Amino acid sequence: MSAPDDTGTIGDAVAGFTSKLRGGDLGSLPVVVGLVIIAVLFQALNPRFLAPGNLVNLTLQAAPLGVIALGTVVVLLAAQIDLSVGSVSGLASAIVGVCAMRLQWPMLVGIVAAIAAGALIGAFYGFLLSRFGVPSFLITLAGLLGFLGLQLALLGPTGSINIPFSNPLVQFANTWFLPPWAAYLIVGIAAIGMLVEGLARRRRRARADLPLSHISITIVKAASLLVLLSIAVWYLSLDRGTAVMPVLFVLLVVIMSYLLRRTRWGRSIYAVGGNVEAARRAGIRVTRTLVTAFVICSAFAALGGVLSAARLGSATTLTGTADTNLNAIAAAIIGGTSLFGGRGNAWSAVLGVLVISAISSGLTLLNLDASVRYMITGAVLLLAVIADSLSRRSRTSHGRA
Amino acid sequence: MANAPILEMRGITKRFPGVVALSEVSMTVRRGEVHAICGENGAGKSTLMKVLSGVYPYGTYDGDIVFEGEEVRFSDIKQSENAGIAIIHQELALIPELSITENLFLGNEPGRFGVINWVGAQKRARELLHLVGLDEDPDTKIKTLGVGKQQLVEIAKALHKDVKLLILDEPTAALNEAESQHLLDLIGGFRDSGMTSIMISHKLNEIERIADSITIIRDGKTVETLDVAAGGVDEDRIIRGMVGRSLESRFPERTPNIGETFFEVRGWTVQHPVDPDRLVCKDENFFVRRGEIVGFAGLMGAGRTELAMSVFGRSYGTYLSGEIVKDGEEIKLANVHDAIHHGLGYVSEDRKTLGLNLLDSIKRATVSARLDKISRGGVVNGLKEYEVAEEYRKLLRTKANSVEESVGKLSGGNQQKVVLAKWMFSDPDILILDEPTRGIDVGAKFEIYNIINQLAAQGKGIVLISSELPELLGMSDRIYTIFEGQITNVLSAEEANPESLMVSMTSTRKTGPAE
Repeated sequence: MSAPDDTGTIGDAVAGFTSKLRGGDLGSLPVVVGLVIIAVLFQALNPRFLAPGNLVNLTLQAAPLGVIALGTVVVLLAAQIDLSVGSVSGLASAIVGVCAMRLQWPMLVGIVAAIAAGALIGAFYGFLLSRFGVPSFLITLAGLLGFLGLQLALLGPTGSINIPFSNPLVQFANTWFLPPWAAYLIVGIAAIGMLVEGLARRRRRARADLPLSHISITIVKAASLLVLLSIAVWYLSLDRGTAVMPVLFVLLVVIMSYLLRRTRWGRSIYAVGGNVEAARRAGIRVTRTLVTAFVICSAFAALGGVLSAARLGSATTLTGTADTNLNAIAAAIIGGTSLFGGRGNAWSAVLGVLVISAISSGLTLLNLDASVRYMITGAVLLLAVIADSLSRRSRTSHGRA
Repeated sequence: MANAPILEMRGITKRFPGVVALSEVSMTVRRGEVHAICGENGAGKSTLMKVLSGVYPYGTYDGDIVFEGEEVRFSDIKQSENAGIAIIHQELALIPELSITENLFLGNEPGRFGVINWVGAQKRARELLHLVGLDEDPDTKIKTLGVGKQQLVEIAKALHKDVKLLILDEPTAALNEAESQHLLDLIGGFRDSGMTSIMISHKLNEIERIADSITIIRDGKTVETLDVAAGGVDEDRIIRGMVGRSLESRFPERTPNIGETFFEVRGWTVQHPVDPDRLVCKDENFFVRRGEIVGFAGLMGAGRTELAMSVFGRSYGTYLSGEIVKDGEEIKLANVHDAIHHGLGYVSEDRKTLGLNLLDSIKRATVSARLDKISRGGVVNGLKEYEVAEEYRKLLRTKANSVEESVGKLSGGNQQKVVLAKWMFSDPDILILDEPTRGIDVGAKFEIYNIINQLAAQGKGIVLISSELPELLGMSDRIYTIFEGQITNVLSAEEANPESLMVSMTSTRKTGPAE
């Protein structure tokens, strides 16, 4: 049988896409549409919402939570859950504070210690899970409380450690911006990278006699990326410019995306999340896979905690508490990662965290307080999950489940 | 005497994006008959039944359904049930932790004001169980019953709902000979009491025995309807209609080329995973020679699967003692990973829950057991993956638009081919096949037999576990029989026949010379 040739030209590609949509395979479309609606709505209510200055702040705010959500995606893909990412991030911020300020160790040592502590916690979770078979929901629920306590103990009676503004970590999170040429350079590299990758892939497929999409699609894709990112950089440059911290976040997403899609490790995560028994019978080392998922998740949570301490210039009892946990999990799910494992990708952390941060920022601009913000974020999460369930149901009735 | 039709389906067309699953299918079922539907994998049998029972609601298909003289337009299963159509699926929908009675009346409890009348329910449950010939206490929990008895509970449940048309989708696929026999007698009894049944089955000998008419579907179209009473209908006739040609033989020709013994299991003793007092394998010994197909016969629950799984990296039960020798050396298999890397492969009997990740694409599933073969430095070579999957798709003739399609969308036979592809790619020396053709139609079975023979011809040792005696007899060079966790006998292809096997499968008596 010949392979599908409905990907020949751009017109065919569009037709293929619409057929996919009609079949219920919505991909990330609902989230993107949601983001546009949120943007239009808040812009109408307060014209400062889409102002360059606010968007720069938004990117800075989103990055720490995004890093935590990225780790959460990995655990969710393996059909597990980590309820303690908030506490672990808070603990990490406390570790950085204690190491750098109280003990006066070099900044880098503090950061490494915090991330290592995160990784260790993940390994501990993995050990408990495989040794005693306790569900991750309960293990990490215990972790949520335990590590919150440890965080409070580290911070001591004062309950906070201030990190001066002159500290390089705080500088990094607040005042490091890419010079315009560097930002455009990165955009260029990204677009060229996409083009080169696309062409190389075409060449390899051609050599193997596989069906090819038209070359124009590869070029158009890379060109659109170039244009879109350039506009974004230009718009942000009207204010302070492109901050380094969000670029770091996106870089981490690119790396994780590659690892999840292209490596044996990534395959084992999807396999375990999709059908753990089938994975076991295919010789995949399930325990090892789960341990790595938890290690990565907790390490990213710790890094997120370090970044948020840096952003706020302090480690307090509030860092990582309250809504951090649920926001990180919500972001992963809103972005399109399934709570039941096996479906989703690293980019859902980016989309989800943009939605959550946009709502938070918009409501702050409107001077609405936390109570409203919680309710609205809750409603958006519900909508995202409903959209996911509907698309799954539609796939079933179209015989595509 | 032709009875008035109870059901007419006229010009049913059902499209999925990009595929026409059913095209102008028509079928007439007479009142009080057993009507069989035959067709290859993916021919559209199940789709047709889903249209009939309202799983695909009115409006998503074209054509008319006339039931009891009236045109019906079901928008869900509830409506078709109320009209008197009950469908019993291959996958049973009972709740294991509840009792027979509770399952029978689930969602339909007798009583008033939401208070269930348990005494009445028990009495009614007894009556229903009597109707299906199931002698069990109605308080028994479903999880303690075997598949065959669960099937009967499902049928009892349908009877309670005052069913006029009973649809059975592969009712005997998971049953042993005796249970199948009982079920067929039961369906025959229903016919005598005036009930109409539609039966989908791949077991043509059963259809030949029980059906009054047979509708044959091929590639989404009605091919013909055979009237069994008119005579001249036998298995070969049905097969000819299903595949559009006649199969010379049900099993492909093969000249065995058997080499030396290279795989041996000695003194294999395994404890039940939950109950430490029970041994699921008691001091078992068996061996496999190069290029040999070794059959394992036994009734359901005899311990065939348990033995195979415990050998395959101790994936069942608690290992107590015994050794595995391959190529003259003892090998220790502590887990599945070890087993695969020592050249063992195991195609599990339940492909959906144990063999495949249904979210995977065909290509991902194909390479999933041996990613190391197509990756370098931990990075998977996507192109090689595609090529490998394409190669096996062509080799096994898996029906799919492309290898990027999700395995969840494929029909049972094609899913099984993907599972086989996965294990062929892993290139084992010993391949254990556990019910490799369960729920698969004749044409695809033949293809799978061919593949098995090719693997044997390459010098691999094949262990074939099957509940279908003709399959074991037609394929194996040697057959071990298992009864209550013990190998009771071993028969060569010449010695084995259904009778001699059945004796050793039901007792520890020996019929032939044991080796």
